[in-house]
Amino acid sequence: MRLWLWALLPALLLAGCNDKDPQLAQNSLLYCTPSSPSSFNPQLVISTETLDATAHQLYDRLLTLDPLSQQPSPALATDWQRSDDGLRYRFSLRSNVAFHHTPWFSPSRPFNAQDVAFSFTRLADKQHPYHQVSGGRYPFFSAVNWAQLVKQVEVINEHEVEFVLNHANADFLHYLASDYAVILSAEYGAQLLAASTPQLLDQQPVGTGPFLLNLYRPDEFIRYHRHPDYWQTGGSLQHLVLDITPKSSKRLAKMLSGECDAMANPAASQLEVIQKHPDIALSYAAGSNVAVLALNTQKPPFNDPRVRNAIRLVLNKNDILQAVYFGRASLAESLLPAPFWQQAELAHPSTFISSTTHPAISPTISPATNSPLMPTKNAVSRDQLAPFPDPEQEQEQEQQLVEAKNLLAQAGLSGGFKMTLLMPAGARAYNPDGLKTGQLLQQQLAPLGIKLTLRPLDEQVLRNSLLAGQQDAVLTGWSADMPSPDNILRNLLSCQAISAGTNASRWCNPAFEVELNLALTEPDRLRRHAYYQAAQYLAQLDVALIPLIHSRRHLAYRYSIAGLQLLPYGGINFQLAEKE
Amino acid sequence: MLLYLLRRLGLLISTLLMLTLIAFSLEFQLLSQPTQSFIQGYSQFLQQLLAGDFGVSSVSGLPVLGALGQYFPATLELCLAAFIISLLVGVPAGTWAALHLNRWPDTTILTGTLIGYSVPVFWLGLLLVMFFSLNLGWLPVSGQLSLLYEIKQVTGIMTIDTLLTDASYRWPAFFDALRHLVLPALVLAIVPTTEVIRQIRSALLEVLKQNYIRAALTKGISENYVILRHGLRNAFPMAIPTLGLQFGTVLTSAIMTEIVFDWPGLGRWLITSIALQDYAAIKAGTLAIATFTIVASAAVEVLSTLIYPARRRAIYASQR
Repeated sequence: MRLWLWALLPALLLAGCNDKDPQLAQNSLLYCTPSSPSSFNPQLVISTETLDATAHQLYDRLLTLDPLSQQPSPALATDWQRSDDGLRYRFSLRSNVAFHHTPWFSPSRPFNAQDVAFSFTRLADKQHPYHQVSGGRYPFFSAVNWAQLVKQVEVINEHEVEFVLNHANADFLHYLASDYAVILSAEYGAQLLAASTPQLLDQQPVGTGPFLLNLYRPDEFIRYHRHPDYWQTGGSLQHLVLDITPKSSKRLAKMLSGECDAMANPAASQLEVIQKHPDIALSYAAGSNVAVLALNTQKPPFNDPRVRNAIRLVLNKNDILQAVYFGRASLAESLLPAPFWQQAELAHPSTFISSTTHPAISPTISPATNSPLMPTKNAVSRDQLAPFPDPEQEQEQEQQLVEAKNLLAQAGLSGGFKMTLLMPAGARAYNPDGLKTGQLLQQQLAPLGIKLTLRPLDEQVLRNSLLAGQQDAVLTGWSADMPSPDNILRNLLSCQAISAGTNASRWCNPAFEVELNLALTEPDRLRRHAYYQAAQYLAQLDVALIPLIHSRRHLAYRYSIAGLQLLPYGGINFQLAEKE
Repeated sequence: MLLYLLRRLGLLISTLLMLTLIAFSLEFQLLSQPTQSFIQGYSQFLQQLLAGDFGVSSVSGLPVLGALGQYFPATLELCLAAFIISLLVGVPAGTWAALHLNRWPDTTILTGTLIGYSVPVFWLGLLLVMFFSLNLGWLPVSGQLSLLYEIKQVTGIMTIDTLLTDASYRWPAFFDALRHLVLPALVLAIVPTTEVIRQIRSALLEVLKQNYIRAALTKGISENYVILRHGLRNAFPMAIPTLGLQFGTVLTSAIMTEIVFDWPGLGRWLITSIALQDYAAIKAGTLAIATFTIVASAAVEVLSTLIYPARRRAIYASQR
C-alpha cells in the first residue's frame, strides 16, 4: 500500500512546480491564433489571420489610420502634399528608421525612398524582377485597380518620393494606410536577387516593424523578438509568440489554463464562458463587415425584383442574430456597417438619410473602435440575448408575410418553388456558421412555399461555382479592408466584381457605378457620402442584395495585459502591448 | 548463436523489404508514370531510401528527412515515458494480483485492466485535460514545452534538450517539459500497463507453482525474498517477448494521443500530412512508424533470448 503513496509523490511535486520563469513570463506574450500565415508578406494575402500574424508586427506603412478619426495619419511618411488635380502625391519620409537585423540580412543603411519605390513597383510593373515571385497575385491591389491607378512611383531624393496617378482617387491615401501596403527593404531584395533566391523575400521577412522574426515552425508557432532599433516607442515586451492552434475549443482551453495570454476569434458559443472568467477580458471591434443573402439576379425566378422583395420581407434577421451569432453582432439594415455611418454622421448629421425600411438604426459606438482596447465585460446585456416575444413585432411579421405572398402571386409564383442555397462550409469573419443560417432560412421561407436545398461548399469549390454563376442563391459577405464604403459596395455589387466572383447576386447597374466613380473622384467628404447613399438607394430599390448581419471581431485576453490594439480593418497590433 | 543472429537479421531485412514494396506499390498506383516499369521504379525508390532521400514535402518544400528527424524523437520520448510508467505501475500491480489470487485485490486489479483496456484514448485524454488542466490547473493542456522557452533542438527529446541549454531558465524549462509529458504519457501508458499486469500476473502464477519456490518457502526463507529473488526473476523472461509485441499497439495509440495533446511527434505530423495530401511525408511517416515497430519488437526478442539462459533453447531448437 505504501508503494502507491510513493508513486504519488513525484506527481504532486511536479504539480507544485508550476512557476514559470517570472522574468521571462513578464517579457513575453503568447497569442493563440487559428492558422499558419500563408506568407510573411501582406501584399500577397487576403486572410485576416495572416494579417494578424504579420502586418503590424513585422512592418510599417507610409501612413497609418488614426485610431479615433480613422483618417490617414503619418507613419513612415512624416508629411505629404497632394497636387490640386489630385494626380500627384509627394511624401516626405522619416529618417533614421532601421530595418531588422536578422541572421539572413544585415542592413547597411536606414529606410529611404528606394525602399518605397521597391515595395510598390513590384505590384504593378510586370517587368519588375519580383512581380512574378510567389505567384504574382496581389489580391488587395488588383481589387483597387492599382495597376491602372498608379502611373509611377518616383524617387525625388533620399527622403522624398512621389506617386503619380492616372486619375484622381479619393481613397488613395487609405490604400497606402491599409495593412497590405507594407514597406519592404530594397537592399534585401537586391541581395536575394543576387543570390538567386528571390522567393525568400516573402518567407524570411525583413521590415521596419516593432518585432522581427526569430523562428517559424509551420503549424506550430511563430516566435518574434523585439526590434531593438524600432523608431517608435513600444511596450516592454521582448518576445511575442504566436501559438498556432486551429481548434477554437483548444484555444479556449489554453486561454483558461494560462498557456495563452490572448486569443483571436473565440466562437460565439464560448463568449459567455470567457465573460464569466475573472481573469479574462473580452473586447471587440465593431463589425466592419457584412453578411448577405445574394439571390442570382440573372437567373429566373430571382431576376424578378418582386420575388427578391418577397424573400427579403419574410426573412427574420433577429432569429439569425440570436441563433447563429448568440446575440453578439448587430442587425444589418444596409450594406454598410456602423463605423461607415458614424463617419457620415460626423461629417454632417443632416445628410444622414436612412435608406432603410427601419428608421431607427442608431449605430452604437463601441470602445473597441478606439484604441487601445478597453475591456467591455458587460457589453451585451442578458435581455438583449433573450428577447420576449413582442406582440407588435409579431403583427408586423404577419403583415409582411401577407405582403410577400401578394408579391409572389403577382409574379405568378403563388405555389412557391424550389431553390438551392450555397454557403461556405467553414466559419467566416462575417458568418460563424453558414449551414445553421441556411437552416433558419429554410424554416423562414417555408410559409411562402419555397423549398430550400442547402449546399455547404469548401472555399475553393464555392469560389469556382460563383465564378461559373449558375447558382440560385448564396450566403456570403464581405469584410472591409479600409474605412471606405467603396471597398464594400464595389466588391459586392459592381459589374466588374461579377467576373471576379465577389458579386454573387450578379447585379449590374451602370447608374450605380456612376455614383461609385463620382464618389471616388470627389474630394469633399460630405458630397462623397451623398453619392454613396444614392448608390445604396439604387441597390436597395432593386433588392440587389439582402444584408443580414454585421458581425464583430472578438479578442479575449488576460486582464494583466495592456495596450493590445484590435484594428477594425485588418490585423491585431502588439506594438504597445505590455504585461502589468 | 551467430547463426541465430544472422537468421533473425535476415528475417528483419526481408520484412523491411516487404514494407518498402507495399509503400512503393501504393505510390505506383497513385502516381504511375508510364516512363518507368514497376521494377525500375522500385529499384530507384530503394536506392533513394538507402541514400537517405525520402523526397521533398509538397507543403513546406523542405526535405522530408529533416522533418522525420525533428518529429521522431518527440514520439520516442512519449513512448519511452509511457513504457517506463507501465513497468513502474504494471509490475507491482501484477505481482500483487498474483499473490492474492482470486481475492479482492486480484479481482479489483483485473477489473481495472479490463476497463483500462477498453477505454478510448481520445475520451480519456480529454477527460484528464478537463480535470487536471482546466479544473485544477496543475498541468498544461497540450504541447511539448511552453513556448516561452527557446530551447535549441539537439536530441529532439525535450526533457534532455532543456537540460542541455545554457540559458538561465534551464530548471524551470526542464520541469515545464516534464509537466507537459505527464498527461500524454499517462494516457499512452494505459494500454501497455494493462498488458504488463496481465502478463506478469500469469507468468508469476506459473512460476509460483514450481517446486523450487515451494522448496525455498519450506526452507523458511522470507516470502518477500522468494518472490522478488526467484519468482519475479523467472517470471520476467516469460512475459517480456509478449510485451515487445506491444510496440505496435503503443505506436497506434501514440498517434491518437499526439493529436489529443498536440504533441509535435510523428503521429500528428502524419495526420496533418494526410489532411494536406503531402504524399512524400505520408510515405516517409508510414515507413518510419512501421520500421520502428518491426525493429523494436525484433530487438526485444533477440535481447531477451540473449539475456535469459532459459530462452536459449529457442536458438538450438531452431537449428535443428
